[in-house]
Amino acid sequence: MLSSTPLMAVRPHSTRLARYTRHMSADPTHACENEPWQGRAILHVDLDAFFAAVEQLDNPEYRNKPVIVGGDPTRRGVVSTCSYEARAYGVRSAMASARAAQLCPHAIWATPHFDRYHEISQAVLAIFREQTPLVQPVSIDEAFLDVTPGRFGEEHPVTVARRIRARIAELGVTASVGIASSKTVAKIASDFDKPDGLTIVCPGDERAFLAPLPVRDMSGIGPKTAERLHALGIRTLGDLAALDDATAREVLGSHGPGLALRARGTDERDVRDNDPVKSVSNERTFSVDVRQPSEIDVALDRLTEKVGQRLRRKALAGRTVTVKLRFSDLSYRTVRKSLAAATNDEHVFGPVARQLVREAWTPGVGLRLLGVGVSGFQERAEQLDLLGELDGAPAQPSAGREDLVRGIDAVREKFGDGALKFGRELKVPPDTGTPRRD
Amino acid sequence: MKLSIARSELLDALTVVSKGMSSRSTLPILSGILVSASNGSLNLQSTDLEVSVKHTVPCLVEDEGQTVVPGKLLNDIVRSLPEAAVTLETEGEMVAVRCQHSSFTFKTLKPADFPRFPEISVLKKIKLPSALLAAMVKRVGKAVSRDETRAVLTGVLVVVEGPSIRMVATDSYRLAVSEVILEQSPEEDMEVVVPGRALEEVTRIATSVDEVSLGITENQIVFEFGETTFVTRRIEGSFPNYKQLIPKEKSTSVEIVTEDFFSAVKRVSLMALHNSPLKISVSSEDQTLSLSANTQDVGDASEDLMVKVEGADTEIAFNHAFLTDGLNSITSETVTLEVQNALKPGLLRSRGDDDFLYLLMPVRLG
Repeated sequence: MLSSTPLMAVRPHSTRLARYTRHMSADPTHACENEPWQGRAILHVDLDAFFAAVEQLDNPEYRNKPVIVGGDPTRRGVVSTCSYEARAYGVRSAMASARAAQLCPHAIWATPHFDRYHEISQAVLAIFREQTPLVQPVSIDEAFLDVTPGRFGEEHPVTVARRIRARIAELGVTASVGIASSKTVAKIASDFDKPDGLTIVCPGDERAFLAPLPVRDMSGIGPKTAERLHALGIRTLGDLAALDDATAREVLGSHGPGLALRARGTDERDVRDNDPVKSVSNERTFSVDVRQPSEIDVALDRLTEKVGQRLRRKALAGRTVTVKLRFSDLSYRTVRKSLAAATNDEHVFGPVARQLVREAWTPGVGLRLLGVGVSGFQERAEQLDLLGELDGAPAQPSAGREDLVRGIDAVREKFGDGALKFGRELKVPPDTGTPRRD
Repeated sequence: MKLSIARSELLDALTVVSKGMSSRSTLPILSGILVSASNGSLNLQSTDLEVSVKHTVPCLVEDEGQTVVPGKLLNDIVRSLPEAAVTLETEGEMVAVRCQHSSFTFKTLKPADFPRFPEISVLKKIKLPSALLAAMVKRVGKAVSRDETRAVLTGVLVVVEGPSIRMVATDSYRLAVSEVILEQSPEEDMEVVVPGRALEEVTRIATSVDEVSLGITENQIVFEFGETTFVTRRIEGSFPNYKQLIPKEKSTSVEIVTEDFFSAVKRVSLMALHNSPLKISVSSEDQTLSLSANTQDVGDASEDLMVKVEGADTEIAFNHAFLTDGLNSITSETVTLEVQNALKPGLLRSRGDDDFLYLLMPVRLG
């Protein structure tokens, strides 16, 4: 059905818009800071150029210089994070390392130290949790917090946000914070004045704040959707906000009305603890395609070990093993198999993963990416052995192995993942330095 | 060779000997049945080198002789024939099977290649009522291990002591013990491990006879009943000392109406998918036993039973299929569940004349 509203850009008239100007590292007082906050208050906290910032913190000689964390530019890597100094040269996350090296030839290339990023991320999370129990971590470097006055405290949200920024600064990194009445607006606000910014969208100002921004700024609008919108002359969130439901559905499908609603600043989604974990997986992209079964086995062992370790850390056990492969021709193949019982022991699911690889991969075909996941979680239940009770019965093979696995976990927990390695790992093929986590 | 026999009698005979036929065709001759006609009877033999079966049935013999026919093919043909006289006649290397207007001709194998039936020199022999044997085998059969890597557990320990006969089986997760006092003491005591599969097959084919004789030789076990001889190997190795496993103590004892317990377990188990455990919690104050199960992403179930509890409150979890197997073997009206703690075996005891024990190792959670 065609809408009676013509598809045209509608700019809301607002003189208050002038309030939202980008300012570098300033933190001016906002109009609504001196008034009681009305309704929900959601913070979105985003650590600035996080991995690069940690490298600059740990390596004083990197400070104020373009730093790129990511894969080796001489190989097939991608940029994971780059410092703001590097961004000035046009370097961006997810850019091919080779391209980044062209744009910024004198950049410092840092190899990732994920243990360290994890450590700081945990410290930041602890700061959040001191402010409110309603924290929703989105990734290693961003989170939503519900700091609605009257819920868990009476403080003004802006006061809470300032304190969080100060505490994070004490750790040696900076964060940009957005405050608004909803998640959508808070997220856009945190990005509004990066790095080290604080953007407050006062209750009632949401639509005016969003209106002039490009549609791409809103989460949920990717390059494809943006392209479709642009083709229709819809460039700003204000344009999108003006769409009625029928037109939005026509243009964007079933998600359309929801996107238009969010563009109007309406987003009822709550800050909540993350959905229960549905799967634990790990994958590696090889810098050079792998063709030898022995190399694949080694890489697979390392992945299954990692997955096992993370399952145990989260006290999870699953019954479905999934192996994901990406071949030289960039085609994907995913194979899975269910086990008789839930496990978090890589010695149990590892051989299954190996068998799956054998089924899905033809020897000689180049493998670019290998991933292993365990899902189908359920309570771990181990059928005990009756004859193990007998005098002189041989120890159950699983008992010693379990001790070994727990021991290894404990050592790595204390001294880091690299503290203990199996001999076979010395043959691990190099990866692009950009492991994906989920 | 030429003989005639009623189709149903031939089919019954073939069903008996097919228990010894090999399904794996590494040695083609083993997939055949040795057919011999002489003295007014038909003798059929089969072997897979582990089990050998011999069966004799009267028939009309026109020409004496011997041949080896493909077992499965002959079985399928006879099964499909109408109820009438069947004629088997060899014609050179072929055999013809005729019945009314149907006629089949197919290749035979060489009798000279067929393994000779094992020589039997019985050391000890006892006779058992076939119904009793079947009942006991049914009760312990589920606990027999299917795992060939621990061969001795694929067998059933049969112990004859004075007037009592006892059968014990375990797959290392549960242990079933069935004991019966015979009206007549067997002539001799014996202790032997019989392959579980053979025992089950004997009870399946020995339905039309009253008595089964069980004999042991140096390395074989011989069942004789009616016109059938069934020989299988003895299992080497010593059976686990099961008596040591049976707990001498209990901290909780629960008496339950067997039928109630069994049906509740079956119901609640519907929500114990993918091997999720069935949890049991016993309250002495409430005199209840609660069953519960849950499957992630599916749902849960629970049921409370009024029971007689003696001793402490307890919680334990079992594999529901193992518990169902045990309860299925209880014939008495009430059953006792004895528990020490969540990591020690639970014990189901029949209460009544018959003596049946089912020891079940729990599932450890978390």
